[in-house]
Amino acid sequence: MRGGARGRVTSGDAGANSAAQSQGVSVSVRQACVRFDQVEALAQASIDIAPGEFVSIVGDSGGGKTTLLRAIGGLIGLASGSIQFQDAAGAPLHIGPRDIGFCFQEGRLLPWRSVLANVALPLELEGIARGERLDAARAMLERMRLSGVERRMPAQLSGGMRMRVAMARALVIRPRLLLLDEPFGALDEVTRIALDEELLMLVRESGATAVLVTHSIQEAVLLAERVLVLRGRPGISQIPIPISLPSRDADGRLTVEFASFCAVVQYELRGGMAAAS
Amino acid sequence: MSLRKNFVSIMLLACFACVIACGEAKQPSAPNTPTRIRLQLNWVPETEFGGIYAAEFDGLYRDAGLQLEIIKDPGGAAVPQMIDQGVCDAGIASGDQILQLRQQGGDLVAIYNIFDHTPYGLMMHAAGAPETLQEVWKGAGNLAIESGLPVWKYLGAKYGPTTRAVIPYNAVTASFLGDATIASQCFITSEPPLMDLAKVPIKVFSVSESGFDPYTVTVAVKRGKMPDEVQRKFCAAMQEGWRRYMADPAKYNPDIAKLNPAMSAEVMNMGAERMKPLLFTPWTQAHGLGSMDPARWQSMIDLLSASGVIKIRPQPESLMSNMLPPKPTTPK
Amino acid sequence: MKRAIAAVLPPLLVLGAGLLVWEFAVMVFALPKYLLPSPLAVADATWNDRSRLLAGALQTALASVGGFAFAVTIGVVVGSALGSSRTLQRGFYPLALLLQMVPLVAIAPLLVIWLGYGLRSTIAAACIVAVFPVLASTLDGMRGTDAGLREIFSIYRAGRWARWWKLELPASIPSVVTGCRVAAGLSVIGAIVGEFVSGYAGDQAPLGIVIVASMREARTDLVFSAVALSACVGFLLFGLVSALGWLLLRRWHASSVKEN
Repeated sequence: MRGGARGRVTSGDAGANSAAQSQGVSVSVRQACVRFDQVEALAQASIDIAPGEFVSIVGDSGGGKTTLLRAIGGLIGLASGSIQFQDAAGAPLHIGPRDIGFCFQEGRLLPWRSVLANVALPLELEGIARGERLDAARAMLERMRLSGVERRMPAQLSGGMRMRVAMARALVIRPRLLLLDEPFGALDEVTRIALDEELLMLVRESGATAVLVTHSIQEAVLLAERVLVLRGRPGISQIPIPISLPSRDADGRLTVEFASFCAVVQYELRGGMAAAS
Repeated sequence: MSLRKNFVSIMLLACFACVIACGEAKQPSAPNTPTRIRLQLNWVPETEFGGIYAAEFDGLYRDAGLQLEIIKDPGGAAVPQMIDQGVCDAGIASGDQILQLRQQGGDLVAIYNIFDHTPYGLMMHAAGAPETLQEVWKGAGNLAIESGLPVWKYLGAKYGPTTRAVIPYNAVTASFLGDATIASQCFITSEPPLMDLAKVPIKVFSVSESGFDPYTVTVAVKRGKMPDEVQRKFCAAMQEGWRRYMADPAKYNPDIAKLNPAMSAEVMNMGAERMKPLLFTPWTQAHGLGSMDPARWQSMIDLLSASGVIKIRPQPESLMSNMLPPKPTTPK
Repeated sequence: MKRAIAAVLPPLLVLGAGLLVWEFAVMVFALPKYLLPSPLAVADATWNDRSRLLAGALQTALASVGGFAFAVTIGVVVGSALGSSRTLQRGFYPLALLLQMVPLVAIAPLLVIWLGYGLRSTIAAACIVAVFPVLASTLDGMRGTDAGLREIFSIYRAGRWARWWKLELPASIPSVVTGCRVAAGLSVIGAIVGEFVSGYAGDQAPLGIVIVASMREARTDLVFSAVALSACVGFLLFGLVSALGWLLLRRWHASSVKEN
């Protein structure tokens, strides 16, 4: 049930193929500490994420999940420790805005722009010409079967659609690292399940490394190859749990393996072994 | 009369609308105590009110059993309306204001007149000034006048529209000094003496040149509000005050200047000099300072009616009353 | 169509009732015309002097619109500048506030000295009174830009110009429109106060001069006419701003858009 804490992990389930794997980056987090005004938000976090791996982070509120994610994404600085990136061959990488895609719970679409213009925004800010970037945006929307709402405004969309548009925007630049901060937290269960499936498919297609912060144990187990449990405030103890499921599609939730992995994660969340770690 | 005065008038009128339901103010009517008279000026204390103040300083009102309260105005009070509404017992109003208020439902009566000829005029720099009022009216350059004064409407009717650019009259001497061709409205005791003092050569064209010569500075009351006896005493005191003032303005001006820090006694003396020919005329020599000729009122009514300024033409006798002592006083 | 009638009818009824009460009050209290003219007297005066009043309204409208246009331009530019730099804001916001505090009646004669008589100083007067609401609302709108959206822009390393043009300015439009609505009415007031001191009289005398002249003649009915007309000018400008605001915001802002 509990595999090695660090190092490479093989995911035995069908999913990432080696060609796409070369797209992702590896992330090495070493003893990362984050402090906000003397308050420690993240303490000595360490994890290695393989290229193209899908990792999920769960934990108590305030336990540093989002902080770790944002630190990886470069949105906040470390008080101590380091975060480094490498490509599939192991060569060090500098990660820029072209390489990271972010998805936030609120979606964060510009309300005064159409769906198409919103999706094209990252390319626009990079300076890409209008025709080119709109074509890329259209293509992305088509892949996600969102072409029908190209001209709509965000206010006219449902919550689920807005989230998918946000995902399209994050993916339009073909990022090598996808960071998601409780993206489906505001949505209802049914929508959530559908979006989980779509997210998994998109990530596999792109081959990017994905880190998903979520409150939902089920979601974490279904999507991720490894679940990182952050316990305590700040997340002092981190327990990575490799997940191996026979199937991760719609029926995946109905398998026994799924239930038992969920139990494991829950167990760890609630304290794990009696001894404090 | 400045423009700021008219702006504040609007505010005051708004307040009057609230005063309506309160009805008319009552006069104190105890026969043995001195009769109180609130006199509302339409400008700050100046040469044009010199005689009124002289009578006050010499105690003439008190001797007549009157207690006069002179209320000065920095410019802005709608005095005719205030008299009509009873906010004050008497006030300074011009004949054309009394006539215009009559058109709008008011009912004032002039009881004492100060200037026998109108003190209004157009003032220009002496250099390059033309000969007649009409030439000024039809000249080129700016014309700074108070819009709404019937005299300008009358001039427009008589000479045709002015060819000058009409700008507001702000009583700001800077605009006059900085403009070589400007023709500015002036009041004989205000702007010309200031220019005299500043040694700026000017030429003054009296408005009366055009034939329009209303009684411009009168003391008016609301018909029926002030008992005849009080009016007589009041006018007698004022008449004597004016006689004394014009005989020796320099004696009273320093005290008036104390009430008006913006103007020096020296300028007031000059103003009094300019006033003399407008006060001492054949009519006033025959009938006494302060008296009025109904024919002059009629002439004003005729001229303003002909130029379309007024519609209702009251009888002159309803606009004025001579409450002066029967014997005319001779000036020294 | 029915909805339009339903919207317009209530205020019209209230207005009509108000006019009736007014007429009645004047009759019952036998108020003199110079104190409070009846609505009929005002209507009569308006009709008789209609060409002069309309010409005046046109002049005042020109000054108001001109001043408003300047106020919006200056307000948005300066507001944006202050909104983008804390230092600039600390240095200049108190000065802008000072401008707002000085009463226009005091500045107006100075404007005449600096800019001369006529439209130039009346436009300046209108602008001075109207600029602050636009400035403050632009500043507010920019500072209130959603932090989440700001982060998106910083994730993609957007430059300062892009941030202002593509994020802060569009985000502040609802606030700016509100500020402009306030400024519309104020610009009419500013124009009229300016006209008291600097308006050219004569045939094309603006409403401010008409008011002043009518006051001098005890023609309160004309004063009411002029005031009513200036209110109309204000309404028109306000309506224009609201319509423009609707156009800009209708597709996306909660105040205008209909959800599907």
